[in-house]
Amino acid sequence: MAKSSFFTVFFQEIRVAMLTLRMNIHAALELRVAFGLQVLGMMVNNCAFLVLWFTFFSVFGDVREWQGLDTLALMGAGTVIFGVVAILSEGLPHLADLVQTGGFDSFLLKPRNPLVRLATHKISVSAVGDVVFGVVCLVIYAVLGDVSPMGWVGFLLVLPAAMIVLLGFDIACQTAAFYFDDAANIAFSLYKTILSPSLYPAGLFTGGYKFFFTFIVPSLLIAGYPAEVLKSPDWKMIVLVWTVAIFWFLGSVSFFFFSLRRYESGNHIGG
Amino acid sequence: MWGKKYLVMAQVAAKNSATTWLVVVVGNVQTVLLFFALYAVYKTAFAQGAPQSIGMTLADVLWSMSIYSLFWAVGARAMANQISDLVTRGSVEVHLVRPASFLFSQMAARFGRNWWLAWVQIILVVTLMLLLVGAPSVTLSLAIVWRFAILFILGMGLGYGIYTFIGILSFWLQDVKPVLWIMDKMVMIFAGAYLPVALMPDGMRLFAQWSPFGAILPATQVFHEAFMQRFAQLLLSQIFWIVLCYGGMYIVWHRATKKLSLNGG
Repeated sequence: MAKSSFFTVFFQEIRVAMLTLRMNIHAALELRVAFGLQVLGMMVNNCAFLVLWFTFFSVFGDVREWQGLDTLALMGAGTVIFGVVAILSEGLPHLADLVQTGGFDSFLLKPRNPLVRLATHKISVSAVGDVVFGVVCLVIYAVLGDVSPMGWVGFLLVLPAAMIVLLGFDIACQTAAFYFDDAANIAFSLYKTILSPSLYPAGLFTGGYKFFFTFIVPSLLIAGYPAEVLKSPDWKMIVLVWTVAIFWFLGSVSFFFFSLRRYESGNHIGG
Repeated sequence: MWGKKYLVMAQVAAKNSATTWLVVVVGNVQTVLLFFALYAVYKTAFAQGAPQSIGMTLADVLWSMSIYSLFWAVGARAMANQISDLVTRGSVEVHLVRPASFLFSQMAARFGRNWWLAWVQIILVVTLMLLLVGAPSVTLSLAIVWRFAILFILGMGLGYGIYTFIGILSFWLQDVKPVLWIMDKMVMIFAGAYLPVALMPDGMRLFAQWSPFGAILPATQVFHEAFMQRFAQLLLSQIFWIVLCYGGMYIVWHRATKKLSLNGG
């Protein structure tokens, strides 16, 4: 039997992943009240950062060409990016528990890419609230802000790269499951290192701090730089985000499969 | 002595948590990075000239936010998920038959579990603050220190109470996460996580002062020049919310245990 080409396998994996996600969404929608509460709760939750930064800029005024209105671009970009990545890869944070309980074996036994299967086996309902909130923020920013068509083009170009950065970082953090016992807490704490500073205005970072939060812990690439591209398109910034995204993604996926070789099944019966 | 059994529970939990030193280390890495990010942002804001009305220096602002992070290191926020997990998994009945208050047992266990994390974080954050911004501009006299201690300790009690209350709601709600998120974010804003309460516009600051969200951590205002004048109001607000919270918790908990039905097995 002829071996399938890389692209055939790639598109098959994507198709199976999309089918799994659709099934998970249908399952989540069965509990409509819980679904609605989680979506709404997350939208209210996200308003907090808007209030914070609006108040910050009302106290300090415009800082390095960042003003209160730009917070909408920042939150819009951040929540859309985070929401889409969370919807597509909510299964990743469960890796530590699966490894501990032996449930990860079932992913290895299937004739599919275990990383893709792992990422898509669960869905985050609250992340839908993030995406809805983000879109609303971007629409309001489009109406009230002064965004050029090139700004939108640049933003749409940089958006997938920012998602890839976040996904790559998440994969790298969750790979801790193959090395440590209490990996769930460790992986979550590591993941929060990128999450918390990601909703800070990128323009307020200078010098060594900007370098650190761009290349070492790429928080600024998640929301700050996409928001800056939206405000004023900068093609160098788009190239920078894509370069870091490719590096993080290839590096983290390689790290995951390298670490997978360390995995030994616990022979958990029924797992 | 009434509280002795809970003290023992906390001690046992603290000893057990000492084995997970890696979690403590990684948790503190996140705190350090957060403070570097906050320092970068506020340094830039102050560099362009802070308004006179602020009444706080860059050092005071960072120290104020460090109090916020130290407060949460004691683990109050985790109470909601801790209790909710026990209720939704059906494990709560095991704890109900014990000769100790379920709620206070859980608080004691959480406090003990976070004991070493909190101490490591105190040492780390204080060292980091001294290196980054130096000492705060406010002279910490004995009068200020004991007022701060009272507000901080009462705030811990209120924080534990509020998040435990949210956990108890899992007897009625399928998922308390939306309530927890909203509470978390309200506390984040009005307790001064990213913007000190003392810097907020007057209306917002008064709301923070008199709401349960701000009453959890009025201690963060210790570095503002008006702290001594505001102390009585801050204390009054805290006491009011503590009485309301624990009174409400008592009533709701008794209703919850009456509602509870066990399926055996």
